Amino acid sequence: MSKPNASLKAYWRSLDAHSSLAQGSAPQASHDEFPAEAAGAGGELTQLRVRRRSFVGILGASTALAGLTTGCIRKPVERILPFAKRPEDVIPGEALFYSTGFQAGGSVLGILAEATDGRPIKIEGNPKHGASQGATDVWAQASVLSLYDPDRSQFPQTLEEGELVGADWETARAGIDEILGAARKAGGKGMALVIPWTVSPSLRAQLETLKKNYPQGRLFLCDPMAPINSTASVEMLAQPGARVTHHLSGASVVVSIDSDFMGAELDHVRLSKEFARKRAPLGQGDPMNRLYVVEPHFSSTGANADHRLPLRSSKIGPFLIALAHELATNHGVSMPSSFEGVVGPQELGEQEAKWVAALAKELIAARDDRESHSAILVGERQPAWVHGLGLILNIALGNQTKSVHLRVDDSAPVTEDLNALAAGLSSGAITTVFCLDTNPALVAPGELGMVELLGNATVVHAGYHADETARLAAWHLPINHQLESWGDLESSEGIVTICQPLILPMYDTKSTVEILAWWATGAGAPNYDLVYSYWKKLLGGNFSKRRWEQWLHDGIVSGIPRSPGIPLFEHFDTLAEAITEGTEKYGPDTAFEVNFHVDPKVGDGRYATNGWLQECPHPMSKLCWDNGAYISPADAKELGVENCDLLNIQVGERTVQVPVWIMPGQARQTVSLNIGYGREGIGFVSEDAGVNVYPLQAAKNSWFVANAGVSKFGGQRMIYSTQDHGTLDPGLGYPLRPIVRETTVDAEGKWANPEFADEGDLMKPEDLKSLWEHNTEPTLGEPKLIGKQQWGMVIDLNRCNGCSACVVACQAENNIPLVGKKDVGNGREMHWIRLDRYFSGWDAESPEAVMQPMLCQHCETAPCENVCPVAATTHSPEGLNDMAYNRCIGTRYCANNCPYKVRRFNFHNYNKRMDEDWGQDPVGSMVRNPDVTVRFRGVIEKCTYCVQRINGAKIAAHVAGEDTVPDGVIVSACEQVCPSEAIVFGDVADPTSRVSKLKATQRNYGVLSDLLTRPRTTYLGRIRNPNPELA
Amino acid sequence: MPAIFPRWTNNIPLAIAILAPIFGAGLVGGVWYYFSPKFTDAGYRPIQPVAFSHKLHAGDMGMDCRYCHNTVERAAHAAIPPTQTCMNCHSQVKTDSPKLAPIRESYESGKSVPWIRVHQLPDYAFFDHRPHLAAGVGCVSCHGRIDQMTVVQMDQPLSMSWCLDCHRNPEPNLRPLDQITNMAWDPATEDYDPKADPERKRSLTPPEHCSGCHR
Repeated sequence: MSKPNASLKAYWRSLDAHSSLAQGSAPQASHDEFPAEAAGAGGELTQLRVRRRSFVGILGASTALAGLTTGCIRKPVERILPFAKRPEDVIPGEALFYSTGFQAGGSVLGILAEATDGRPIKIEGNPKHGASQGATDVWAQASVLSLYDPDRSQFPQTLEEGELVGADWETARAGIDEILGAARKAGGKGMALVIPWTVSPSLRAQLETLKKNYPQGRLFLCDPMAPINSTASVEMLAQPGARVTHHLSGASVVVSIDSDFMGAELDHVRLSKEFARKRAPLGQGDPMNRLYVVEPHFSSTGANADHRLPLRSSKIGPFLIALAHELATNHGVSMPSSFEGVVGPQELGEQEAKWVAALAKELIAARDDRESHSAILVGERQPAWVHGLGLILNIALGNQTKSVHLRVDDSAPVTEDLNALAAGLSSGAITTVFCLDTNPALVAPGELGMVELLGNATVVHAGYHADETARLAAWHLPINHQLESWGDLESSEGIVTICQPLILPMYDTKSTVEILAWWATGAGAPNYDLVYSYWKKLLGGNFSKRRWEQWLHDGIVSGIPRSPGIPLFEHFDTLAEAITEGTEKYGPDTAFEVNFHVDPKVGDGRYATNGWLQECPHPMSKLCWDNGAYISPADAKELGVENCDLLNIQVGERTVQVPVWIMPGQARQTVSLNIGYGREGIGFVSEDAGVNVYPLQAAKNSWFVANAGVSKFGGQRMIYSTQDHGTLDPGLGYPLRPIVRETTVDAEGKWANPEFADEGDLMKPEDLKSLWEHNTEPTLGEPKLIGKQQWGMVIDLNRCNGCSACVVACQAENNIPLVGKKDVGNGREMHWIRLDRYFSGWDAESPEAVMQPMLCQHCETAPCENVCPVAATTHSPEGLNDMAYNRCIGTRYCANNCPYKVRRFNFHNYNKRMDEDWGQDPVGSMVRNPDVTVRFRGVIEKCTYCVQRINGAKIAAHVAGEDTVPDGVIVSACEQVCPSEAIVFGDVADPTSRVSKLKATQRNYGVLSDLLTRPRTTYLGRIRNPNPELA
Repeated sequence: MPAIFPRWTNNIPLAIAILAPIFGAGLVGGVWYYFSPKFTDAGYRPIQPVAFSHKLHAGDMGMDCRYCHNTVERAAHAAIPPTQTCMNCHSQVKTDSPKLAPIRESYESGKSVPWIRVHQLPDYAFFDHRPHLAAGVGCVSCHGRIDQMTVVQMDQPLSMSWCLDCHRNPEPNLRPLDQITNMAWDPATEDYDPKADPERKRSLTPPEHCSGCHR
């Protein structure tokens, strides 16, 4: 146990650690390298009862057998299968990048997809595309694994006696044509098409055709990840097709009203980038923006806030009304006349009232400053009227064309919502439902009873999995992965990308545009022709093949006719009515409020079969493979529950039992549930992963429900969080060390403690003794760092928001295996980047948080190296801590001696296990990067600084006759993906490199550098920019 | 009482004392030689699906290695050529040869000719042809006199210690950059000093650390 260090701010990862710190002792967290086997997990190792003597016998016998079998045979015969006719530009073993697009909800990213020998293996951001600017997010990163999903739907299916059975496209076509024919005869009466958020111009053109051919057919939108409420607000104020986007590149004050704009909101990649760029002071006096977050549940945006107010969702609307009222009455901001009597004083707590006063002053100051402006972002979870009010405030504060951009998207499909679908189905007005890449049976709010309603209709489903809706369908059609399809995507700002396939469809599937074209016209056309002819027709005489190829190359469509329409706001009275209606509807809020959130990992459930996303720890709770009912520590105490206890949550007549996860910073009397878990019958990955909470959702305002019944249910469901894995607390009575260092900045840009990054080391620099000093043997001495270039990394804690994109990118780049829920519980997850989330502050109800990516630090005097008995980990002359897997004998001494706890051990042959899980046809191995070794059981692995990329760049430089690689040519996978540009890799021997310049700043420090490890990865300390009035 | 053991058994300890070291030395020597890649790997000569003779093409006719292995300067792999490359000539020459039937068949059907890999490194060793060529290591240094082989065989052990021998002291194996594919050029008889060669733009520092090849 460690003693708390009185001079340091206390940081804690789990509540156990928090309570022991508060009692004056040190965190009781496990100091074991791998925590004791989690209860209930029942590992195979303990179940195998082998006595010592028989173990030795088995060992001897297997050694003898190994000698007999493997010692005397040759290497297996390996075949080389060259192309009969090699396509142009294809070089065996060399990667090719293709520009294409990726859509998740309303967010579109321009991506460059990497293929080696025809296999798509990695996704990168397209630097030319405004929405990605070279970065991506977890979903785009993991999408390449979904391509090889063993559980994806591989052929058309039809319902026979309640069971889905395989069919072929011919029969499916005949069967569906019959349904289509009947619908067409009726003019589309009784027919419904359920679509996701559609931003593909060619798909929209097909929707137009469909509308023409089925004039009475109805169009419904089903997409929990789409910006429905924000769009509804601006459409309500202006006209259909009006759209709003936010921009933070110039905003000095950012107010997030329940908006997780760094996590799951519209354009989170671009917003993270813009926000982070305003938040990286290199020295005192550099400007910094300020972020206020009001939210019920601790999000990664909240973790980055300078001030965070935990507030229940139903209070957030009134909070914004109070802010508007304050701005109007005390600061003379003019509001629309129809707000008279609507926007008035609200009943607020003391803390909230203080916030409103302080926020109003800040927003006015930002408005009056010629250099800057503010931004108010309202989250998708809030109803449309809150968005509308936020928009009015933004415009009143002069943010239009600065942080708020408006446009008219005149080709946007006009859709109805799922409530209308349910009403139509129950009244019998709708009898035939076509679902295109949507899953209403899963994602519709439970109150609607969509499963029963769809069960009575004729359903035709096209989707990636034979999912919940497919099981109710007369016909199920499998669709292509986006990397198998031609298509096009328009981003929220109007940047269009042509999507091109990297691989032929792996199974008997078709693209959504092919299927929709068939449904719309009765006849089909090939995927490519549909997209190509759309653009050819649109541009007419301006189109040329050359231009098309340029679009494909750049990933951006240029020179298309655009409507420059800007929406005109005129319906303020509609908004005023919505506000009145909205506030009244909340009613009394004494009981628990249940909040639903799009999961930062599995989204709305569409990524539930993706193992990389399931195993990636949740950014805040660090839960893997599960969702939990997040409640505040005080509520947990009142309810008498602890982590993993089942909580009975009741909304109306509907109940769900969810295991508790106590979450510091959760607003009192609220429960937060992540959607997308608990999917059944769609494959082994999502089996038993979490609890489905959609049944609790209410029809109107599905994102939060007031007056829910919350009580202890009894019993437990084991859920595993990695928050205590690899703690850096040394234990054994040593004082706590400053792992995270931070200070604050005042209004003049002066830091409270300019020396903060250098303070807190336990050892004085002159007392440090080298690990190597006593050893005079030349071959065992200190590594000789004689390379011309010396690699190093800097991670900016001010920029990192914990989105976890680096974790998944690293997994994709470095062939990191999945271990599964049980082994995560045993502390055996293999991620090379552990994204540590620390809370700080004594108030567990409203702590601050900070994120710290922890990966191999490539210490110059690495403690792991001199304990390895076989020299499997040694130093390269360029400062890399090398790991030779084939030398490793698995003693794990290195992992034990690593003070950063970043070495991972292959307890099982995880890669083989994954392949076996994939079944007879191990397509899962197709995703692996051929430039990186696939590790076997019994070896240690860890971050290599992406040595395959370093070597690739060095080889290219050497072939060109250069001795060194220019700065910026080598980007590690984590650096490349990071949306907030928090990670910089480069040559520390070159003082002009980006990494050297950052290391020279005052904020730079090395974690545990008082152990004289001389880490090559250093961190830039965090600076908070608090408002003195709220501090 | 008669002796339990006959008299000759007295010689057993002596025999063991003499024979055991010989046996031990033999065992060590045997493993040393027969278990090493010099014995197990060098000389590997599988029978290929088409009896392609490098001696005829590269030796007698003097075709440059890079006519077929044309990715060697651009990629890690010196790729086995596509069937198309064979047909560049064999659509004109020896069009009816029964030996070339699999080639014609592959060209027509689009299916690969299933060549057997001769030079096979373990999957955890990442070899790249490009820097070796750029440094002036000739084909012959690792592959031997391919131009004299009717059936290709592994000439060198391609073991880690064999790689390191050269990485630690590359100069004896270097040649002028225009003699890379010249199989007959012998560094032992030519008087060539890489350091004095103006064509070389950079000094050589071949990696000797783990991540140079293992990643």
